[in-house]
Amino acid sequence: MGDTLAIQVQDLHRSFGQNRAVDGVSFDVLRGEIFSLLGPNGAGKTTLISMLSCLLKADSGDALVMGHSISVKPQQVKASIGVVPQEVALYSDLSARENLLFWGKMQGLRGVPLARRVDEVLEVIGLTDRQRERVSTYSGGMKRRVNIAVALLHKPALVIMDEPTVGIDPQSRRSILDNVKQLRDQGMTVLYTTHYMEEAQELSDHVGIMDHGKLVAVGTQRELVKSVGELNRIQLRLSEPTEGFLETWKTIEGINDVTSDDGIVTVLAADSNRVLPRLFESAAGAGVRIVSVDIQEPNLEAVFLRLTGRALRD
Amino acid sequence: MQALDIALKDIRHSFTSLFGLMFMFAVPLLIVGLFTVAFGGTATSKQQTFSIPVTNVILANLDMGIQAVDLDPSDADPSTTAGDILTHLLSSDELKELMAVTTVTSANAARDAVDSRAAQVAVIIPTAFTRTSMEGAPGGGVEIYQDPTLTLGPGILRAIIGQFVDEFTSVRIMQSTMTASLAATGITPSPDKVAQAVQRFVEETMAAQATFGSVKVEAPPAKQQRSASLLATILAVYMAAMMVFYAYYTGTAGAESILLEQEQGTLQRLFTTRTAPAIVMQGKMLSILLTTALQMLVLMLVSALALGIRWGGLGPIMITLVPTALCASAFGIFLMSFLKTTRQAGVVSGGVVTATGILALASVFTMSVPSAAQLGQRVALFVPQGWSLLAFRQAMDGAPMGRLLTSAAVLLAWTAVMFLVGRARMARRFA
Repeated sequence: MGDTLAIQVQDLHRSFGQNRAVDGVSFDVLRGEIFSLLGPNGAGKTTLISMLSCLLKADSGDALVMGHSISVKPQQVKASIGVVPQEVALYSDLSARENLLFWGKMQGLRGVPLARRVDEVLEVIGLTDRQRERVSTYSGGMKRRVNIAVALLHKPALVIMDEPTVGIDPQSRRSILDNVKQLRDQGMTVLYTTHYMEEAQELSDHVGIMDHGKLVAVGTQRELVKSVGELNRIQLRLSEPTEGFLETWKTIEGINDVTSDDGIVTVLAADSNRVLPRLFESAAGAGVRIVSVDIQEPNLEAVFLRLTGRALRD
Repeated sequence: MQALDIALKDIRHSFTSLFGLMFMFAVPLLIVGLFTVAFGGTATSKQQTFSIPVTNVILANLDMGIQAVDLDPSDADPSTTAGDILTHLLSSDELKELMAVTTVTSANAARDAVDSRAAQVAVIIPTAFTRTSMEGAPGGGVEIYQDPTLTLGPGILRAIIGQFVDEFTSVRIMQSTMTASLAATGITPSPDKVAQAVQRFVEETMAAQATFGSVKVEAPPAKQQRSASLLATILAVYMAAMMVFYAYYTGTAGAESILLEQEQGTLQRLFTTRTAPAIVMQGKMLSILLTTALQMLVLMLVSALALGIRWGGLGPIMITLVPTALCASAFGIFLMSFLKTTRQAGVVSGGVVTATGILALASVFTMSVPSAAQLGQRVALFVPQGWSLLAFRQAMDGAPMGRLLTSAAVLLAWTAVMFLVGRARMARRFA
């Protein structure tokens, strides 16, 4: 079993004062897969991967990364991982090539093999033509791509990426997501944190959902959706206040739950096509006009909402 | 190897930073330039074209000699008093380039001469000068009444009189020790014999002074200072002080790169690579060390060429420069380990470097007031800059290797303590 796992996290804890940033997290990541940690800002994702990359010590618990304990053999762990930090961590007064050469040396590469590898990753990130320009002259997306390239120089078995697409243009984001999928195709394991549900949906083989320092769910997307009942989410905006009236909707057959927040009514139902006509009928009978309707198929956003009671971007 | 890579990357950053270059080289060199403009022409001249302005001294010797001592005047020659000897010394040919001495018979006449600006300094030797000198009273009670705007002339006068009194005191100690020692063995020496012994001691002391010079205003004939003038010596001390101050500034500014990298996220990224954190810190230390050492070498070279400052032999220079560069680097890392942001560092490190620098350099800026300078030298040893300055002064003075090595050892001890504390605190922060 151990040979098939890239990461085994066992009851990790880390607090900052009274704040429990990571609170008893356990999960496994298979070799060669993309595992996404999905959660809003402040959920504890960065703290968790800081511990997995041996930058922070755990208060308790342990993790095996590529078979090495983060608390006992941090140097072996570091040798087997490449870390892409959330913020661009490059020397802006150096060119992309100089940055890559420097970081390659920090990973133990030298001479011709290093120069060749730098050429390769520059090709992958599409910056061969501008490799000798200072990083400070690059756009945000270009910096992000160099930021990722640094982590790939030594061909690590595991790449840890902490929200690598924050604050960049759609074109660069697309390029990065494609790069991540290529890494998996090359046999690398990717631990990817994000608060963008659509990224997790597109990339992930397995997803872990974090909130308030806890891992509230883990599994494939299908498993997660199934775990919350595969309900459709129907959001309706009504013409007037709905106190009392919504109670009648809860009695309609096929509706699982009805909640109201800030003028928007959310209805959870297994089959939206079946319940929608009855909602309109009921509203018309009560003299209430439905202004807008939005139907959402079951997805990770819905799973998160169901599990935590709030939206990812709250 | 990785430590060297980190060091070279940091050095490159330092040497492409206009601000860094300005404070590492431009500001200290500007100060050297000012020194050069002010004094360079005279200090570098091979001919002794510069001379300290002659101080006009008015001297009232009121010393009653042996009559002021409770002894029988017939036992000694009343015409020979300590005041006479001091008057003779101050009027001697050796000092005539420093002071022109005129004698008067009363204290008031001497003070009036200063008040009327006929003289710049009045030296009033009190009636009991012989006795108080024998008792070792500080300065022998000699009054120096001076033009308050003068510092150098009165300073030299005080030094000469202080040494003169010290020698009188040593005669007294020698006499009493000899009498007591003989008495302990049952011998009671006759006053004549004691007087002869004292006379011989004084003669030999005077002969020794003639050889080595107890009060030297010209450069000692040591090899490395053959052509240095007194002014060049003073300039050298000021230059060393400036250099030490800016070396520690550079050490601190260099260490600030740790906080800067922390804010940029590159330090954390370094700690996620297979390069051990200890190597990362060694690389940081190496870059600060090389930058500081290079800065000092440049300043020493420029000041030697521009001001003719003799820094000492290559060996003493290395024994002084390397521990100073190490200590300045460790000082920076130690300081930064207590700070969290570059913003904090800008304020706090500037303050700490300035405050400790002032403590270290206090003795330099009070050179003309011997008692204050002495206190300043003691206080300076509470900060590492003080030891660096001491080491440079020792190297310039051609001090024995033992003393140089002692100063270097103290600097290395400072280095070890500050580096270990700084490293431990940094390690706690990042792991």
